[in-house]
Amino acid sequence: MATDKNKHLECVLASHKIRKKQNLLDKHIEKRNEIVNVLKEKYESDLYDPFNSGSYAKNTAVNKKFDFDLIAPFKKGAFDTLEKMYTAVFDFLYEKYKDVATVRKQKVSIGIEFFADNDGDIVRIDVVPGRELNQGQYKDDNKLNLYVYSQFGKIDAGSDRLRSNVNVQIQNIKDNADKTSLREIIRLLKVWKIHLGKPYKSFFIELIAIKAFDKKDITGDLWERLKAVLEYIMDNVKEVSLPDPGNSNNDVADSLSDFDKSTLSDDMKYMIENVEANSDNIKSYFLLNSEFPCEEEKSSNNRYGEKAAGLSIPPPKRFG
Amino acid sequence: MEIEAVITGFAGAAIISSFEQRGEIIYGSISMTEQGVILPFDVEIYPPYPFQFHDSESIRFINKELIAYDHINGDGSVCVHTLHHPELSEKLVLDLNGVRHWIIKYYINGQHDANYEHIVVNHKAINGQNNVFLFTDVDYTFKKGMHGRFTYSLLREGNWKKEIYTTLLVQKFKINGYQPVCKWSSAYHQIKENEGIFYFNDTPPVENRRFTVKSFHQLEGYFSQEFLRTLDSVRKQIRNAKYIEHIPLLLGYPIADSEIHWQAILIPINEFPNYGEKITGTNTWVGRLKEQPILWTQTRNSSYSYFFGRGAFHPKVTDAKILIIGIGAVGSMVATTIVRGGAKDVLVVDHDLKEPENICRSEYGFIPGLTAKATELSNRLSAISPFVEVKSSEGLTDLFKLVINGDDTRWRDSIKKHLDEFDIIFDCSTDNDIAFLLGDLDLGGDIFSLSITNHAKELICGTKQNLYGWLRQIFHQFDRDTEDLYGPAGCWNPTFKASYNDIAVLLQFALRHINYCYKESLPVRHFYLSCTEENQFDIKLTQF
Repeated sequence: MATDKNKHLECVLASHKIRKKQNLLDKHIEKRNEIVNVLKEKYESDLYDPFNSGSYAKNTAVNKKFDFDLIAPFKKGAFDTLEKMYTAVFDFLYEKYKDVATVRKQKVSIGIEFFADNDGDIVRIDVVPGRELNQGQYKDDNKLNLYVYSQFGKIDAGSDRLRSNVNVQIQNIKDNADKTSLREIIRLLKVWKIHLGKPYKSFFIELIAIKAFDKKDITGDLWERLKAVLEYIMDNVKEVSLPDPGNSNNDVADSLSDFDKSTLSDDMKYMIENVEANSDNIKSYFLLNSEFPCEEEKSSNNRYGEKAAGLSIPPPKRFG
Repeated sequence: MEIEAVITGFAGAAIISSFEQRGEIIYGSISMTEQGVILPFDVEIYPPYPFQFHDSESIRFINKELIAYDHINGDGSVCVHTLHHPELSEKLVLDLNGVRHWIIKYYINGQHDANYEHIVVNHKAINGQNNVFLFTDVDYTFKKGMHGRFTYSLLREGNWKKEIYTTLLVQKFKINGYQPVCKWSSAYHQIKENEGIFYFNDTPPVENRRFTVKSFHQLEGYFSQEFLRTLDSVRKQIRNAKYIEHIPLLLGYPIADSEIHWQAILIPINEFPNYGEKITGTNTWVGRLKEQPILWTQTRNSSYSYFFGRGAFHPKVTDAKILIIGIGAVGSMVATTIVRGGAKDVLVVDHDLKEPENICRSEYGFIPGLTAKATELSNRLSAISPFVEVKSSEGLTDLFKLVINGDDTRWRDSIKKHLDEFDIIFDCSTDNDIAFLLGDLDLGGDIFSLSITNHAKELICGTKQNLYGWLRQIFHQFDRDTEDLYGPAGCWNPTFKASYNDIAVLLQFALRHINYCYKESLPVRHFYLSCTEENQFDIKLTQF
């Protein structure tokens, strides 16, 4: 029986609503606040107020593979170099949390993954140290330099700095995501990325989805709108420019290698082809969060069993 | 005569002595003139001409004075290979042109080929028996003058053209306290070993650049005096040995920057070629070698790069530690294919017994009888390649079944740790429990879960991400008839219908696709192959 693509996508969105994981969300907020406090205590007046920058701040979060991004903005004079800033913050957080969490260096952030608590919940906070671009002007211009620890798309490790206005980035996504259904599309793409382990940065996906809405007339039902964005990505990802809303000199498209862009284009191509060929395939790309199955899909899945229900033993189908 | 007419009409060619048939062979001699150079050739034409005899031309142009040049055979004939032509006159023109080009390239221009040309060894069978030593790489750098003992094992006796071929494996060298071991897999080091002697030099033991010397006396300056003393002590040690008639002597030499080659001589134990000679007026003795014909025997470089030189999988496959779970029709074909493609480290897992009816569409044989699939396949894989370390297990999947639903996370962690050691896992078990577990363990390596539908209409390959979910989803789509299964004798043992060919054509396609993805560094996606038989047979690849 064919799958109703729109119903399935609605189910996927419902299944991944962030509020369904309120407990975990609260645990993240609690840990986030704790880290903010220890950083403030350690760096005192060298540090401006840390703030959230991830999907939660941008209203594009999904409840699978949950994490918080925390920007820690330092004053210009706090460190001689960006590398020293990154290393010092890593060393401090490592010493502070090494017994209760895995602390590791990531592309521009320091990842803290707390060991599972009694409920089996894991809290992940990525701390992104940044240094104000101009002495004493952060509060006015919000501009920060970030340290690139390891190869970041086309940007070499250690050799470059990402200068960005993170606040503007957040506001940009929030503003755009208010457009009709753009937020839904971004969430669906994140569900796809998370469940299937795709390596693309969320920020990239957010910006290219926004660009698709800018460039194309995206209308119709949910699948038609999603498909239009997928087609835009497929056709344009290799050449598209995605200026960083926080710093127009940064091209976020550079955060993906040419190889990854080509792979992403193929991802879109195969997805469109396979879903159009057989609507059931949409379930292979947009998975439900198994913790929160959609009631409608549950009853539909049960009907699959009816065919075999009359048999004492279901027939095997896979052979080797 | 047509032959003489063609030769006379060929620019630069002339007949020296007329062509005449003696027995089955036509003999004559000609001269070839090119850029002022005149070379004579005896010509022999054999009955198949203008057709080839197996891979050899059936005409020979012989001049023994040319033996030191490239592309001259041991009998002085020019090594020409020309295009096929069914008409004698046309073929002879092609062959004369071949000789002409040889004269220009190698005689007049004195060109030497960049590719190494192996020396020509005049080996002969002894009493109808040919001994062939196979050697492979060792982690050791041989230098000029090094010598010592080596060990070798009898691999198998075979036959070709009414002669016996005895294949011998060089196992290790013993030199100055070191024992560099030949890089065969561990299975081959279990075979009983015999001993021989070796000598390494910086040049091959040749005359006329490319032909092995004929007499031991010609090697007098080739060996060090120290080696000749060693040879003499070996002579004394084994002169009373029973049961052996010869002792092998390996001669090694470099042929490229990092490649060495070995030739082999059989020394009769009752006729060693060496003797001592006192230098007149002194008490000093020097080692000498007699005018004694050398019994050259055969060697083959069977190292990994030669063994798989004609084709192998990408190094991401061959260098990988590979696990194959389930070795029925699909799994056993995966195993033999990757081992023939150069895989070096394979674990095969299956709890099942091989039955006679398994054989027609898998990689098992009738002779081993009823036995564990894992045991028979691992033996077969070792028999295919001397470079694969194969292990087998009948119990690993039992362990999976125990941990899949258990509460004890230590077992689960232990299984994960073990499976994380593998770079590639082929799950051919068709067991949904195993697919579920593999998907759930979040393993570091690549996973390919391979299975087929009834009548081998589709081959399905699930990969790591969302493995179980995707398999469930895709098998819903291929809701094939399951009425037409084979021989459900009893309640629960139906199997699919498909021949070896039906399965192999899909599996080889799938493995080539996987190898292509590795070669091009493409992500390996879930995919399936579907067959169509409308007007013609076709296979379609669908990727996800």
